[in-house]
Amino acid sequence: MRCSWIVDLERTLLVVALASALVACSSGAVEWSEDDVAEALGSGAVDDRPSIAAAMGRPDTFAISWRDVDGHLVQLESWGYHALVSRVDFADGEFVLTTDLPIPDADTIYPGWYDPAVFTALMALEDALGEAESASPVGQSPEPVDLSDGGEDMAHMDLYVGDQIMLGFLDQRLVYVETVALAPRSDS
Amino acid sequence: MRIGKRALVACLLFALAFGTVPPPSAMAQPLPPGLREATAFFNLIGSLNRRNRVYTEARRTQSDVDAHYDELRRALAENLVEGELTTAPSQKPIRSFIRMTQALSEERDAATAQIEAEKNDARRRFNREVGANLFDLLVRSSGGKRLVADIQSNVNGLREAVEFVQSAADGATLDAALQSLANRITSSEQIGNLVKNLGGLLAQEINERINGLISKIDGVSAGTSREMDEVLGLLADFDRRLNEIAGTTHRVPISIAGDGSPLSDIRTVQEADAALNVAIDSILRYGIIVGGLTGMSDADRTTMRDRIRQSLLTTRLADLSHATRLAENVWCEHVEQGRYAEVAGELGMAPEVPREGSEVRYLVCYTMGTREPILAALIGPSQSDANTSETTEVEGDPPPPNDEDAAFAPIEIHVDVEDADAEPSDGRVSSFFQLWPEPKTEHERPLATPRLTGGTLDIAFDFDEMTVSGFLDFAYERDGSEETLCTGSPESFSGTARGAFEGLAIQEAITSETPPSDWGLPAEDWWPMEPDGWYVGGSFPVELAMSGVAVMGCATLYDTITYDETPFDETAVITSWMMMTIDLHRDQGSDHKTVAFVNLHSTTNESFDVKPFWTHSFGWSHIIERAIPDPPG
Repeated sequence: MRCSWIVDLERTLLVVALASALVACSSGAVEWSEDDVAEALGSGAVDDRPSIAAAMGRPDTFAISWRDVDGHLVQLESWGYHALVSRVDFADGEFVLTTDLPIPDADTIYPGWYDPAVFTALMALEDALGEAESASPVGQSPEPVDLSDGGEDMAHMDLYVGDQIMLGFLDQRLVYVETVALAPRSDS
Repeated sequence: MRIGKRALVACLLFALAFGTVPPPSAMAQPLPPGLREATAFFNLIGSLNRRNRVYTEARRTQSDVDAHYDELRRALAENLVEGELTTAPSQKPIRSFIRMTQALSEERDAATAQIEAEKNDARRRFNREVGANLFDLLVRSSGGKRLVADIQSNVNGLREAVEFVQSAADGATLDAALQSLANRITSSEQIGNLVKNLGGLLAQEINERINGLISKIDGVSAGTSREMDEVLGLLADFDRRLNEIAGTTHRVPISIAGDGSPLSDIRTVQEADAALNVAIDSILRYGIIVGGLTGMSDADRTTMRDRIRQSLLTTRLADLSHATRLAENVWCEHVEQGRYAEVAGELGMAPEVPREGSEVRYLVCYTMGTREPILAALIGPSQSDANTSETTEVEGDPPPPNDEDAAFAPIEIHVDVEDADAEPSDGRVSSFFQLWPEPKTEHERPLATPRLTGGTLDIAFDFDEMTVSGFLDFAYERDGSEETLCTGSPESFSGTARGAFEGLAIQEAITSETPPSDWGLPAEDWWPMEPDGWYVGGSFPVELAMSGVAVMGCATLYDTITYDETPFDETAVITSWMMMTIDLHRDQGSDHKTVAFVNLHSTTNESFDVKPFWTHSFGWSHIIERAIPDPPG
């Protein structure tokens, strides 16, 4: 007996994906069906980051933020390999694309001392700040940015800046972290 | 040893479930209210470069933001088609595309709300103050300066040690001086490990200088005064350079998110191995910069990518899977043909010859410090390009790999088109290629729609990582004389299929008699694999191009390996077979009737003879086409 339904399922899934992609392309925009989105959000993910870090090294800079997509927490992450003028983007740890970065100034200092893997979704404020401080070559403690004039909108948010790193919190939980380069100021 | 159909189904199930684990962000805890607003605010504030534009031209930013996200999403969709990747929404890479595009859609809406809020003067003032505060705090960062100072201190120490050696007047003093220098060298190597934390070109430059210095200083003990002076000159020059870096007091923070448009040359998933994908794309970009090749055509970029890919696969696949850390250690340069040919030879590759009259460049990459070449690539059209499509015969067996390279040596297989034009026996529109034991003089007649007209399949097994990787590149054609399962009006066409599978895991056999519950399979429809089997499964993207019609497709490779001894290592006798099928379907139920896609899938192996073809090193096999028999029952 052949497990024909598996082949049928596989074909069906391919047709669905094909049709979705074609609709997306013919209209010039990307609109997935609700079922596709639900299926994608509800499925697992392969964490490609360790293998890429092993092959490429730790990124020079990175940005991670966590988004609420239909009630699911989705992690968007960008890694910058500036000497190689390449940026790598992930969704929930899965490699999605690479794209160009500008040619860097030779004297730009990148905060390669940070490891993106230590910053996890909704980690506690004190833990995230501790990670940032311990990784800094000078043990620089992140300082808070005053958001008190932002009114009720900012009441539950905290923003900290450390040694070439920014950390954003909601209700004392990490929702955003980004490391930045320091480039020589151009007169122009 | 035969592989039962249970093994095949296990492969199918493995492929369907391949690599799916909970996403890293999946958490049981509920999402905090206000997450959208918070991430939108932080992203907007944090995107320092873009913020300048956003906050100075708030009323124009709305359209900027819309255009930005629309363009990004469109680029993703276009790449999805250009990459010819399609699979179920729950499968990679579609699921991550969906996640990213949905998240970007959410981000756009939230950013729009932020922009709207900025139309309020108080909010705009607040955002500007936050941005200014952020900017000032970032500029005060001191970790990088400390690293530069530490390096400078070490360089000064090295200089003092060399001067000590130079001035040593007697044997005892010289011994002490040399010991001091040796200590300094060790210290320098440690500093070198820290240099990488500076990242970018600066880390590359300093690493290169340190490696050069250590190499020079290694010969100092027996050196002449002139050599000592040379070392001291290098140290002084290094010190001047570090002074220059340390003296750059006016710096500005640069955000990766706000740094230019993310839309230039988006390259989506093309390799099953994400690390290989990123490595190829990165070297491609690096090579373009190094070679002064900006502005090259898409076709040339694709050619260049192919060369880099082939070079990496054939020369340093092992290194890539063993922590090469390319961003820290690779050094590429644009060279002349002679140097390219020389390096290609060192890598064991036959240098390619440029097509007559064409303009080409040559790229060579090395590991830093050791200057060991890792890549040599001709960029541009070569004579072999012209020959590829004309390949119709097996050109004799290539020489067997030597023992050292056996684990990573590719098997090159050429399609024999002499056997590719028989009629199908059962009406199925399928064909597959199979690795057969060598020699194979008589094989069952092919079932050929489409038929293969030429191509290669390179495979490398990595028994350290327990993975198999490879690359396929086939041409095929269809004469339109047959009905298919999916089309009532077949057309003639020709095309190519190419793709790669990287690091597919060689898995231990599934021995459980009970299927995992989350597969939702009735027990009677599931066959556990033979307990002594090993298998490889997974999906990989295939680029497809056909004349006259647009094609997108998904390829799935199923390879099953069994062995007759334990443990599974290079001494075991391996029995392997691999098959891929191509079905052509014509989507007549939509507006895209001209779109066909190729579905490569596996089926039962009940009628196959499985014979050992590989023992200590790889044997050479060739591909034939055969019918796919329907399974019994």
